Amino acid sequence: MILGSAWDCEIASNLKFGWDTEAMQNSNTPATSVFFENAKHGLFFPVEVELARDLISDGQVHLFSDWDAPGIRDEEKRQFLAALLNAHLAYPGGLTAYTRNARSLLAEAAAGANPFEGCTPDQPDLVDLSAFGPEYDAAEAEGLRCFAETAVVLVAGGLGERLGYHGIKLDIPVEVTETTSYLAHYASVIKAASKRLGRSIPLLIMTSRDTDEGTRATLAANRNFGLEAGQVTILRQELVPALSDMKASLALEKKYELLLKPHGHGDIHTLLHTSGMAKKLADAGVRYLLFIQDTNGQAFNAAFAAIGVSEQRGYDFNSIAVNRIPGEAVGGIARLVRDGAPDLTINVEYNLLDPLLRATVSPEGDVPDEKGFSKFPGNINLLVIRLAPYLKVLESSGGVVAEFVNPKFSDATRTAFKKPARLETLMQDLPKNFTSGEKVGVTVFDRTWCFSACKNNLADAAQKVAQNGPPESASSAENDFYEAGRAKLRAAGMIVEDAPRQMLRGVPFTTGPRVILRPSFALTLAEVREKIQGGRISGDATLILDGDVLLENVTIPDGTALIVHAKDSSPAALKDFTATSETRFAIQPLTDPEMQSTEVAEYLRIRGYRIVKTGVTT
Amino acid sequence: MISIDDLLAKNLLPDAAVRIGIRNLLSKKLREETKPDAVAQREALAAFIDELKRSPIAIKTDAANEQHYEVPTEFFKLVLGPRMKYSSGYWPREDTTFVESEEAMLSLSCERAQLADGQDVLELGCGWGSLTLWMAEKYPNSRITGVSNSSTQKAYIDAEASRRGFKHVRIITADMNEFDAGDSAFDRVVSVEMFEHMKNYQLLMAKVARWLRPGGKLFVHIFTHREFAYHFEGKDPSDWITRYFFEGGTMPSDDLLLYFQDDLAIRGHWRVCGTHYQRTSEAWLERMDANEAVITPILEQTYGRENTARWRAYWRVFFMSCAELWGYSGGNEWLVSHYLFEKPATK
Repeated sequence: MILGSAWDCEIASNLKFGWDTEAMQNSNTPATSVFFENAKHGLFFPVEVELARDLISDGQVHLFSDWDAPGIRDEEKRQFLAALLNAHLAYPGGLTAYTRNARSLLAEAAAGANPFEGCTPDQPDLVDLSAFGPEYDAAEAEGLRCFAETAVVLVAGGLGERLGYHGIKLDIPVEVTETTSYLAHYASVIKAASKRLGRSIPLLIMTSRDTDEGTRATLAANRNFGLEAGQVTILRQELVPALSDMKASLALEKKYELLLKPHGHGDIHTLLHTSGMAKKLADAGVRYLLFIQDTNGQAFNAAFAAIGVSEQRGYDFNSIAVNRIPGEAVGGIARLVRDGAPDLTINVEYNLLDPLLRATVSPEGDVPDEKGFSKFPGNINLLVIRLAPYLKVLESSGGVVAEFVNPKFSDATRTAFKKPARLETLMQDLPKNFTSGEKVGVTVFDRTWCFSACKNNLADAAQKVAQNGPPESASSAENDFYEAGRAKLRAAGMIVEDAPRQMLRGVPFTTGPRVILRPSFALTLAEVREKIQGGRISGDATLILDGDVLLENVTIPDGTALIVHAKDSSPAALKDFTATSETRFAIQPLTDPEMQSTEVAEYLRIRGYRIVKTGVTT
Repeated sequence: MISIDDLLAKNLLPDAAVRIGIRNLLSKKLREETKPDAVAQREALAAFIDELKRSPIAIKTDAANEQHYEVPTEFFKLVLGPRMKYSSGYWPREDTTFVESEEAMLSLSCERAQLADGQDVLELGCGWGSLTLWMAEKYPNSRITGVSNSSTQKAYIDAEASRRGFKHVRIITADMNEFDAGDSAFDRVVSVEMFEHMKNYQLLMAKVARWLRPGGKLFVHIFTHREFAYHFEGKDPSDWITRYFFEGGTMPSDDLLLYFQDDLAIRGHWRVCGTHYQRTSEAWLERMDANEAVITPILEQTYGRENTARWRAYWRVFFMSCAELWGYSGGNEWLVSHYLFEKPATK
């Protein structure tokens, strides 16, 4: 009747809503017919159905076969399609680009292609700032100026499982005298530098599924640690589907659940591209990106000088690196000389570097120089990248940087996997995408000055110490944090009497003096020198300087703590002064029962001690 | 004796008289709900809240649908505006047109819901998709899921979305008592004039909280009374408005939802003057009258030829009642209320 033709036509068109009939006939094989039955019931977004169709054409029929009739497990089905779409949207070019890349990389892996075929490693172009001096000072001064045009990119997608810490790593305190978390520490540098340089320095944080919520919660609970609302940007990385075979079939965890794996921290490059942030920063006048890791309390000791080196030497990609002993289990940065191609300066994993050297340069492999170090400095993933060439690389690569795949083949035929593989990407591999003669260099710093990771639990750390390796525990990170403070005092001419080194649960720890020079006090070594002259600090003393403070010939004897939190309005000046205080700080090792007790904060148990404050401040 | 019903059916009551009657009923309702003193007033609200917490999420949804939402879509196409918004519009100016009023409220809702492109958005009670389709248009990279308990509404929106090439819209037909959207699946949940059909806001908000991602937000648009909360109950046989149009519904007080913050915390609360809904209702009535020739056959098909006059009168009185209710006291008695709730981010 009157309801008539218009309405009936609409109902009819609805029946094929979301897919066109022709395509349905192509993809609607008996195996997938129940899936399409579900789609007809409106369970999915049309864009999801379209993706399913593309995946079916791409050979992923197994994902949509053997489905339950509509009404059964609908919520799981919805989430399955949502997960597929999510992975599709996160990857430049979508899932079919991912499988296409995977097939070609898997074929190369099966053929046993050696990525370093025809390459001869040589020492990279480097600047050695492992000792302080005029060269260091010039670089640092230049770098501080350039920091006004720098954005800080913090890569923080990992959890502290190996540490035995259950929160996000950014929440772990780098020191427990005043208990400052890594994120609070990083933010305090950015806040102080923004104030000093009169420019709101952007902080970008890459989170993952594991860390996103915790990172946002920490920022909210601490009001961005004093940074402006628009100053902090969070970019969340997504997982990629695992691959079960050489055809790049997407692996299922179980029915209606995709098996997803981390893609690696190279995602930061993708995210900076796909989010448009790299472009936006460039438009806002940013010239450099400083990439830092989630738990390296030393990063900003060296960062300014490294940025200065980038500016002085015209480095487009500058790795902050440490001297490394041949054979040490840390990637070495090498300049790979290749026939018919420009040199490639890149991190080479230590287990590949030595065989490569033996095959090309010398049968002795990686040999020490006169100081005992390898020619190939150790990569610590602290990077300074010039934004203009970076933008071009992102543009030409679509943001996907130097992927690789590392399948564990089940046998010598190299056709089947022991367990699902996935494509991976590492942030330090960016130079592999350079094609226009970008200048890649390395700036070497003293290891403790620029790098101290917090990643191992105490048992593992003690084992590494026993094998002469770096402990990289929460305790060694705190030790190094104070050590950097002491190094700054020494550079300023203060006499620093180190306390003897003790072993705390198998990890060496110099118990004092405990020195924390906040970024609000000094950002650079030069500033420390301006603000501290002479004086002496003893092994069992604590010094914390925050804000505008001048110390001239100040003595801080054993058992005292000099803590100055100067207000903006009232700079503090102390001259010819010997500190006395009722307040004392003491390192108190945790007892075995305390180490097991959930009553004791986890961030203390991962380091094996607490620092107790007694008395009152006079 | 001839009943008012019969008078209406025979079109013997002029609108002016009907409206006087409605106003009398409204003033009677206000007197009924006014307790002897401020203490008793608060106790009545507390008792009402307790009762809601003991109820199922919604009751009598089938009844409301049969009565109301299962009238052919064609009827609503002739009465509502081009966006098919069956809820209050927003009339910011004296000369705002009906068409503009739909868009102004859709736009205001999106702004207050803090929508942004790329979000996963769930609309509870999507009607004929006015907001769902608006969001689809404004946020091409979002994914919009609408839930309705009416299959005719789903059919209409699906067809519209298909016609307009929206691939990021899906409509699910479900009863709110049973519907589950999955854990942490949405950045925003929005709902316009649907909570009035619900009872247990505690259970409903807990569900919504589960569906939201941490930091995700719920935007609610409901009609309210500035102070009183009461059930629509068709106790009186003459109360056909409730029986036919709103059985199982709730008139929330403006502060009612604020008592349900176990899982979601209030972040924003706004009032829209009742006159906006009054003007909307008058516009619907005007459109119904203007399209009488085409509407009559639809009513004949739905209600039977012999009942057509009576149902035409019912619909007209319903729209007049709405206009009078929200126009009462210059729009300061019955209102439209907006709320923004947030799921706190936790570690």
